[in-house]
This record gives sequence, C-alpha cells and structure tokens, in this order.
Amino acid sequence: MSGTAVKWDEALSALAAERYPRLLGRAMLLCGDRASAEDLVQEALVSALRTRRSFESLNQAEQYVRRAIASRYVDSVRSESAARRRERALLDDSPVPDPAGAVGTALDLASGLRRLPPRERACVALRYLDGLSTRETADALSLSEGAVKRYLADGIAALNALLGTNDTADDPMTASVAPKGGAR
Amino acid sequence: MSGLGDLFGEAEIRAVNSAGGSRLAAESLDEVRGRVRRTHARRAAFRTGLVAVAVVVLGVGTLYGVNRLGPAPAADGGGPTGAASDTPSPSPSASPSPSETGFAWPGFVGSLTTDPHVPDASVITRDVWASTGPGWALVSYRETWVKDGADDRGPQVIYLVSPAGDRYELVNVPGDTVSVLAWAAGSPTAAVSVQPDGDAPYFAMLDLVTGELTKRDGYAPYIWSLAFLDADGAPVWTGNDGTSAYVSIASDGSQSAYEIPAVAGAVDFATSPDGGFDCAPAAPFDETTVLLSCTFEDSAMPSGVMSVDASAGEKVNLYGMGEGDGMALNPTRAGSYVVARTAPELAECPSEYSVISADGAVPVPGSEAGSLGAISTPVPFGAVGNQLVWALSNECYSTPQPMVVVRSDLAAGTYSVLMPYPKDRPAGEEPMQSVTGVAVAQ
Repeated sequence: MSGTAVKWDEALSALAAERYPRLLGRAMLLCGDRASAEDLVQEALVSALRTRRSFESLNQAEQYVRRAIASRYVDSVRSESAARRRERALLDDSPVPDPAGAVGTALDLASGLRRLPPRERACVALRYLDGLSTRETADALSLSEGAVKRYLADGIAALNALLGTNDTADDPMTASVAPKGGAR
Repeated sequence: MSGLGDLFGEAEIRAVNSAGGSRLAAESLDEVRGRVRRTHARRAAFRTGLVAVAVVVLGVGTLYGVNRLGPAPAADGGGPTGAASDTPSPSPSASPSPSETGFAWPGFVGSLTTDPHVPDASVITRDVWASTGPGWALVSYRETWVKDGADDRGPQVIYLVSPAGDRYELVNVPGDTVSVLAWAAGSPTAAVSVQPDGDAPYFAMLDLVTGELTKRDGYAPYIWSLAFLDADGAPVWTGNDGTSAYVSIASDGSQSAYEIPAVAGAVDFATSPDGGFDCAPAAPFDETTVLLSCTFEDSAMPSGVMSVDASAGEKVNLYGMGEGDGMALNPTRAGSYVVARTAPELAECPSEYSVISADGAVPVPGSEAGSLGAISTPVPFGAVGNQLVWALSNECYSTPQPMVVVRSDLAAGTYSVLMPYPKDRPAGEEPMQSVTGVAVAQ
C-alpha cells in the first residue's frame, strides 16, 4: 500500500485535471448554480486535503473531497443560519414547497432536490449518491443520527411526492470509504 | 417506474456532463494549494505566542510548575447540576518519591536524543520510574514540518511526563509514527496505534525499553477519533464502522465496546415537543446522568449541552440552550466538572475551552485568551480527579493535531505545561505536528 500512496499535492493536481467535472457536478446538484458549486468544490478541496498528507489512492482522495462537498455545503448553511439568528431575521431561502401541489409536474431529480431544505438535500444526496448509512451520514455532516433519520425520512417522502417514486429511508446494505476513523 | 436511486444516478450524470470540460482555474488551484499548505504548517503568530508563554510558564519553576490563573472555575466544586461535589481532587505527585510506588526498573538505556526537533528532557532514572503514579503521562512525540514546500519529520521519542511537566526520555522509536493510546503507571509496555505512511493504522503494543512493536488484533484509532472521557477519566474512542460506536482501550491492549450509560429515555425526556431542537447523547457523566448535545432547528451543528438524569426526572441546561446563548461542542466529564469547546455566538470554529455548569462557563485553566494562545480544537486525553490533561491543537475540525499538552487543575484554577510548543527552528521551517499521542496513568 505504501508504494501507491499519493501525496496531497499530487492528489490535488490530479483531481483538478481529471476529476473536476465530477466534483463540480456533485456540487451543482447540491447548490443548484454553477458559481456556488465552483466555490463549494474549492472549499471542499481545501477541507479534504488539509486533513491528510497522503492518500492511499486518487480514488480515496476523490472520495474525501466528495464527502467534504456535502459537509462544507451543510457548514455554509449553518453559517448562514447563524447570521440569520444574530440578525433575528426570519428569512428562509429554501422553503419546502407543498409536495401535493407539485405532483404531476415535469420535475426532474435535480429540480426536486433543490426544493428540499439544505440539510435534507445533503442527507439524501449522501444516501443515494454515496450509499452512506445513517451513521456514516451523521458522522460526515456532524449531525445526530436521529436528526439524519428525520431528514432522510422527510426528504425522501418529499421527493417521492414530487417525482412519483416510492422509496423508503432504510439504511443501505453497502457502505463506502469513510473519511474519518481508523483501521478498517 | 424508476426509483430514486436511478434518478439520482441519471441526475449526477447530467450534472457531470454539464460540467464536462471544466477545469479548476490555475489561480484557483494555486489558492487551494496555498491554503492547504498554510493549514499544514502552523500559523507563525500562534507559534510565537505559545513559545513565549511556554517559556514563561516553565521558567516559573515552582515545585508544581503551575501558575495561579484568576478565579477558580466552579470554585464551589459544583458538578454539572451545580450541586456541591464530594469528589476529592487527588493531588498529583509533583516530584519523584521512590517510596511511593516502587515500580521495578525495567532496564531503560537512559539515553537522550539530541536533535533540535525534540523538546528538552532528562534521562530517566530508577527513582523517577519508581515514583510514577496516577496523573503521570506517556507522550509520543514526533515533529513534522514543511520547508520550501516539502514535508519532513524528526526523530520519534516516547516521553514520561510528571504532572508538574518534568519530561524524561524513555525510548527513541525509529520508523512508522506511533500514537500512544493507553498506559498504566509502572508498565514497561503501552498500547499504541501505528501509522505507516500512506497505509491504514494498525494496533500494537510498544515496548518502552526497546522500542519494539508487537502487532495485535484490534482497532487502531487515529488521535482525532478520541470521543470523550468516561466517568473514570479514561479516553473512549469513536469506533469504526465494523465495530461498535465507541471503544475503550486498556493499558494491556484489551479492547471493549463502550456504551454511554443512562441513555434510555434521556433524549425523549430532554426534548420537549415544541422545543425546536433535537438532542443526542454526547458523553457520559455517571451511571444515571448523561450529557446531551442539542441542535436547534435552524442550525446544522449542535450548539447546546444538557445534563440529563431521566431516572430522577432532572435536566439541566449547561450551555447554549437559549436564543443567543452561543454554542458548545464535544462536552466531556473531567472529575466533578464538565468541559466543552465553547463560543459566545454560533461560530465557524468555537475557540474557547470552558468548564460549563448551570452557573455559567469559566475558562479551563490555561485556555484563557493570551495565556496559551488561540485554541482550535482542545483534545482531552485523560482526567485524574479534577486534573484534566488536554492538548491545544491546530485544526478546527477533521484532524486536530495536538501541539501543546497542558494539565489543568479544574478545582484550583491552575495549570502546567506538560509538552511545550516545538522549539524555534531555522527560518522557513513551519511545524505541522508534534504530539502524536498522550496516555494518562489512572
């Protein structure tokens, strides 16, 4: 394993050259607009690469960055929430629409996802795009497992209503590499 | 009809295609590289402040090597509920006294590593070894740094440190980096996590006389996987996905799943239907009381801490449970007290380390602004009575790297520096890491 280790700066160069569209696409699913997604990917690269000096492989480095995209996205929402609390404003830039009113419209997944509140959006994305369990999602986003369960249930229910699907919030059987923790 | 999984897959493909051909702009790449490099390195201002303070603190040279710092936190000895505590605060053995324990001499070579990248230390002696006891710490130390864009690292040394901050070199361990996890006073071996470069860590026992590593089956946590201290002051580690949620590691290397007691009913009892927040167990306090971290509806991170004894119908707000009350993260018990990372407002990175109680919050001795410098993530390594051994580290989230180890007497309001910030070094050499592990004898 040691012989295939990728140093963080090598990983950065390779990610920027080879994997950037995938990272940007992931971020666009969460943010909804390209400019915010580009900023998010940049923040995620910093967040992921400063945690380690080397990675087992480029794929592992990418996995760290993909997780960081979700966690930094939630962090940015938290910062916005903090600002709102300090200002005692009652703004909400991500209202949850009435799902019933949207049934039957030609919503695609990306549009439906953007109608979810940010934390539901991040939890659902990590569940479906990375196959994370409830606990892994809670760990990645610094949320309690109870909160993740609720966000998943609410988010999936809303998407079902919007898109006509019939999924449940059961944990997946498979789990991918987790950025935190020790030996596996 | 497609399921959500299929739709997500299709949506991601569309999103990636729409981003096809995109490249991270050169200036953005340079900015990311610079920020990562700066984060790996240490902020110069932080270093300067810590070195200066460490010198002052060590220079005081009192018997216990401590400074009295302002009012003692929770001077009435109140625990998390503010009630009077009957828990005595054992005094650490400040100077070697061979008659106290008389541990057998395991045959240390008694050499000293001479290198600018290790702290000042003394040769271990029979008398010192015989006098070790609760509150003494085993510290694994290896400096890494960046110079001219390249990483480098120094020798790896295991130190025995008295509660007063007297350091004694036990053994020089070349090769892979080790993090001490658990150790018992007088034992010639310690449980460690070994981290080969670019590979997953493995669990081992380290011979403190020879430096030999013996690989063992078991979970090998990273240093930042330390979750909290148990009711006895011993560290509990976040488990990996294949084991339990929490793992205790004993000094003999035995491992066991850990479950926070008193969880049953605590969350439901703490969370009122219209309270606007969710709570989750964060750390134990005792067999009937649990510490909960609570997250408000409009925040993605926990901000409040409650102490709950569901069996007695008692819940106490310790920090951040009201509008504008700030936030507290990573609460843990230390002796009769509860300590946590705190910030007066919701913050990107809580930068205080406080003793929190129903009566308010006061700084953990040694953590006050200007005393040991800015704190990113304080890491508690162990407590003996009301003596808390913890470290200041240089990252807010993800992978905090301890750089200074402190023993704080939470009852007396005093502290001593066990491991100082790395010494000054040639210009352009920025330290990234120094302390790789701390094990406090119980």
